[in-house]
Amino acid sequence: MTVVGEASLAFRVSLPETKSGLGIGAAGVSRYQHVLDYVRKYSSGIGIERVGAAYGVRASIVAGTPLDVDLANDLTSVLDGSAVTLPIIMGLFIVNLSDTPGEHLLLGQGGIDYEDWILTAEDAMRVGAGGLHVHWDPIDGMPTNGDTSDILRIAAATGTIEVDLLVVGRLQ
Amino acid sequence: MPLEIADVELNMRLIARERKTGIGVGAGTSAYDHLWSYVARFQGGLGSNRVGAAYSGRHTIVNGTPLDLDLRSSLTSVLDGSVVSFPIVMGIFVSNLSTTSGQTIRIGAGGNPFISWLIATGDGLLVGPSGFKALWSPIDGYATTAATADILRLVSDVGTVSADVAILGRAS
Repeated sequence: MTVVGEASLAFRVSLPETKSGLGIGAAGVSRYQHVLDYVRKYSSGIGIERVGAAYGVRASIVAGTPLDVDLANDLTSVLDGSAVTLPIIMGLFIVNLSDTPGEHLLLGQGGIDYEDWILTAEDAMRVGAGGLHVHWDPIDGMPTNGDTSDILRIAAATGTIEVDLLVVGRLQ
Repeated sequence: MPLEIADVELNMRLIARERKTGIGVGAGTSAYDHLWSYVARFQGGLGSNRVGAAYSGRHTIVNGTPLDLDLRSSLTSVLDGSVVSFPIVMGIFVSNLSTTSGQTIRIGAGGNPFISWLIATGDGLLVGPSGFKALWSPIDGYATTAATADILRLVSDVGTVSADVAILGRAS
């Protein structure tokens, strides 16, 4: 069996907002920097804020043929081919690699829907072309239920879309 | 002079190292880095891949009192107090600052919900304690409709939760 050692996450959204002519004098430019940072490191293992398993793939999804990722049964390690099971999902990381307008991904729904990351069963969302979706839940995680709630469905709205998918989780 | 946005930076990176001993001949440790990254820069303005409006703030959400962010009329600039409007939302970034198990934030649903990033009215997502949610669609974005589909609702499942919220968008 393979193990996941350390894991690190670093997210940053940063942009300046500017406006001239505030206060006295018209020449100055006022500036405000919007910043949202999220930087963490995690050790391996089980329990809160520990990472125990990971699976990543680049997939090509054709409209009308959804990619169903079985989080409890089908995934294998690139190191030794052993099964990667994710009873608790800590993170879903998805990039829509298309740059064509309208080629969005539909995330969710399908049979045996993995649904602990959404409000109610059959909820689903869109990830636009060139866009991404990140869902990270390191403390409680999002449990799967083998054979009854373990399918993460990703569908292409139109055309054929390349997608990078990384799933991170732990045993308990 | 209107507010201006420029030099938007998104930098997101996850690394999870998977290890296994005893593969092949010898007792060495094999390792594979699961790497997921998204690094991009955007200019200000209108149209695809340009950011024209931004809002960020730290909010306190009390259980039983949802935080309703009106994406067309209630958000204001920190520089001059003018209304920041998002006819098209490009990104939503939410960081749940709680470290208490069970203190999940629900995103979505409510009255006149901003819905175009979801499949159906009432859909939504969960962000667990210490968790992070990022949704980004730089090309098509997600359209809002003033007064009827422009409310981004955040609800605390339990207790009082602080959250950092950043929203990026453009006028058209």
